[in-house]
Amino acid sequence: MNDYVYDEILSRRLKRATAQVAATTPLNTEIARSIARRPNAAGMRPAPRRLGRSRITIAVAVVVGLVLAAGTAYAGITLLQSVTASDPGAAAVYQQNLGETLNLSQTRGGVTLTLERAYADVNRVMITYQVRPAGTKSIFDGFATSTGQPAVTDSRGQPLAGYDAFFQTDPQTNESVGIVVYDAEIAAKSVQELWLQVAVPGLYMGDRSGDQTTVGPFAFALAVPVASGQTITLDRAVTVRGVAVTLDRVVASASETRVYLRSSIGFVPVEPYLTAQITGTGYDTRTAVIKGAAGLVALGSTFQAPDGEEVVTFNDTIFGRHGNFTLTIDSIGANERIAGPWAFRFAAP
Amino acid sequence: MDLTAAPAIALAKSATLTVRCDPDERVAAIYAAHYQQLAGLATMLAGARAIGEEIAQETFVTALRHERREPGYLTEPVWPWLRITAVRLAGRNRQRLLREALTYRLRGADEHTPAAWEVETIDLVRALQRLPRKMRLCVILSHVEDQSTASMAAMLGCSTQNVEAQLRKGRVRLRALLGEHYNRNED
Repeated sequence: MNDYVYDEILSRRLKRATAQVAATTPLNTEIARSIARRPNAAGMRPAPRRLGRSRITIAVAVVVGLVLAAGTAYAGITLLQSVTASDPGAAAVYQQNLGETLNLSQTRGGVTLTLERAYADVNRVMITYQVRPAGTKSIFDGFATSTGQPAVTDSRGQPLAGYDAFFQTDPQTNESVGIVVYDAEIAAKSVQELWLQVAVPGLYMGDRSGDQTTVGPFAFALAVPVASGQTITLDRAVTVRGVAVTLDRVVASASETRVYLRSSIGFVPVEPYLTAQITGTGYDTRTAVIKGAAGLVALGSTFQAPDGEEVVTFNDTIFGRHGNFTLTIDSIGANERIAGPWAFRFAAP
Repeated sequence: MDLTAAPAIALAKSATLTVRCDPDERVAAIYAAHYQQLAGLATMLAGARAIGEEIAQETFVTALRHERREPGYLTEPVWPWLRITAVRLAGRNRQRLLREALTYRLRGADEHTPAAWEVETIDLVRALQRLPRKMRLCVILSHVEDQSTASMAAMLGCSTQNVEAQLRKGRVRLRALLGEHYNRNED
């Protein structure tokens, strides 16, 4: 397929998605009225919105206060917060200061790559990094690898599968802060500490004209303790329209919650998509909206475990939250979709 | 609502606005006509719903500020002004927008909970989220708003070569992020 056809398809898909986002955005005329009533609309910068007195207010105030009190670290923290904004699990881990401080730096071609922190639990390994360019003219443009992430191997030389990566760049300093996320399911099994080798063959550095250069390589060795998780074993099957789906287990850790599923029709690697959500008191993953003080359990990724089980990750987690939850699988498959729902109730003790 | 064939622009309601004397009423009418479309575009520009909605609201606050200071400031068609303001807001450091969006959510969005997105929309937004900011802006302005390279360069304050490079890389990255089945013609 040529690029023109591909671009046409991309345009059509993006327009359709934009239309759906628009159509599902609530039109709240009260907001229109409140915007019109804003006195600061007359010329001043908008003041921060005020929250009612609540525990949420106090909690937010305390967090903001602590961040401000951190002084010189403020810029770095805010950029990291920005990076982890779409990943509540990662945000929670770094807000709680879990994991290890590394501060391992190497400089190649004037560009400094620093591995700042690492965290590991039974589900994920996460590494935050900073890229400081040589001057103000170049900017970090991604890792020069086929996956867009550094290659990470454990002490046995087994590579960890990467499945998420985000970074943000401070427009003032051109420094970038990012996070790379890896699957820890196999590497972290039965170990209390992970010894990891991080290999970065190169960093893409772009300039204002759009030209790109590559600097590197970088290589680091690090050790990070593995935080434990909570496994709820269920092995419960639900059949809808002749299709049986089995919820084998739920594994909750501080960084995310995973559910392990099997199906009578089998999950094939080329089309593993499930639409699923966990609901419970204060949670609803379906709308991706914070429903209350407790936050949400957002949909993460789906992938296939080596034994063929389908794994669905939720990047906010039920870890440490006790109560009754329902996992609902709305449908299976992306192109050939089989509608459910398959619903499983489980308790987190 | 069948969205399969509805381009974003089709959602824009009739923007025939009578010029009113009261700036607040005028902006409220523009809001009613364009808010959802702008929130849709801003969500794609930002790669996140909460930030997109915050950008859309911030755009209307800016519109009101101008309209109060200079009645009749917003001339028809208003969409290009709304678009460029949203693009500029999306191009800024997202920290403050994020904080405001979080505050807005915590304040109680339960009354107006957005409807769920389809899988494809979730996939696209998540893939966009993983593009660098400028790359994402170029891809959306080109593919959703059909803007020319020159027009994008003017909006983003960079060279046309830079826009072309960002677009080229953005398309390749999206292609890789979305997987091959997304690149097939579904018709």
